[in-house]
Amino acid sequence: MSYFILFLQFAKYGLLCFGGGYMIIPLLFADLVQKTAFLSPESFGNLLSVSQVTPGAVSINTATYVGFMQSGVVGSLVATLGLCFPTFILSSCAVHFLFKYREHPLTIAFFKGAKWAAFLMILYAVGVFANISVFQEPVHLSSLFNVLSSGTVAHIELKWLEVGFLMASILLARRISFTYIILLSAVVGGGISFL
Amino acid sequence: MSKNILLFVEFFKIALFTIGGGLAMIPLIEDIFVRKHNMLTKEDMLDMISLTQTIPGLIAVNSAVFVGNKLAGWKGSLSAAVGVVFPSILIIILIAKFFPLQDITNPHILAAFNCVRAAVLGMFIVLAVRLGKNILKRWIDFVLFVLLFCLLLTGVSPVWIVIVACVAGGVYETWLKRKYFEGPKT
Repeated sequence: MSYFILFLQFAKYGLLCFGGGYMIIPLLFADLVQKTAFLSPESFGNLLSVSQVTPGAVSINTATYVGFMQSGVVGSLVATLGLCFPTFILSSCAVHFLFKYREHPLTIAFFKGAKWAAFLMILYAVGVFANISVFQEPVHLSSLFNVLSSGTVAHIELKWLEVGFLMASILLARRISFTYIILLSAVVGGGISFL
Repeated sequence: MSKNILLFVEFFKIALFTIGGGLAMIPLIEDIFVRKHNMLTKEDMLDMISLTQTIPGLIAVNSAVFVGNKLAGWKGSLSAAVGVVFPSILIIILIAKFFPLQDITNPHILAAFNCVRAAVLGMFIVLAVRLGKNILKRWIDFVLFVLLFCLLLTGVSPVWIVIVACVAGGVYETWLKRKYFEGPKT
């Protein structure tokens, strides 16, 4: 793949991830797993886990890794640059203009709209993550639509150990920093597998 | 030490010591630039948080640009952003070179990865609930939510979901809701 297309692809992600870099996950999943089958759902899940447990912003880690898989060290630099470029330009403009025009109706509309976009994307990310962590068989959101229209009940099997970690992280999220929750779940999860 | 070098070094350290993404960096940024260096105020931090929540893009880069710009203009933004990206690139290139994804077959590592994903799912649910509480306040909000959620279920590309949700949400909150459901502002 040419470097320019790689750059544009990640610039698109950077431009669309409302609500933080995490929202690159649904976008990447749609492109790399569903559209092109560049990665299997399992490798995609492993890719995300590697990005989670290594230091730094998760989306930058993911972009660097995907870029490397596509075209080596230069690819990883191009992908990361592409991801950061729109953010850099937009927030540089924002620090000069957005706060000055805070009361303008268009600014307010954009602030509110961005919240809705972030909310929908995080729900999408929940769907993606449920498939690659707690469900035995992937349950696609679109198949859920079929279930609703045909009236049959979907058969969902859960991985109970992972459900435990899910519950623990929900309970702990208020009390301890997310850095520790991820480290703890990696250590405890790896430790349990030795039993 | 010039401000640009300071920004680069501090953001390099911040990125190196956070696991789990940009959101986890915000408390560290506050610690370093408000308490340790006394270069920013609490109000600056609030501005930074509202900026990161509205501008599409990475929270880490957004906040680096904001802090860098406050302290040293666009050069400061650039050095802070490079600093925050640098550790990731170094570490991930090393990992990708020596441990390619296809070669991870160790069952213990795979189990650890699986549990990390479940924990992240938990974090997403917490974030979604927090955002939902912020957005869905009146019954009429749920109507738009259900409409957008149906769009999600049709399996359309997430690109369209972002665009439609942003435009629809903005138009609805700013014009429709105020005009028809809350009465004119007094």
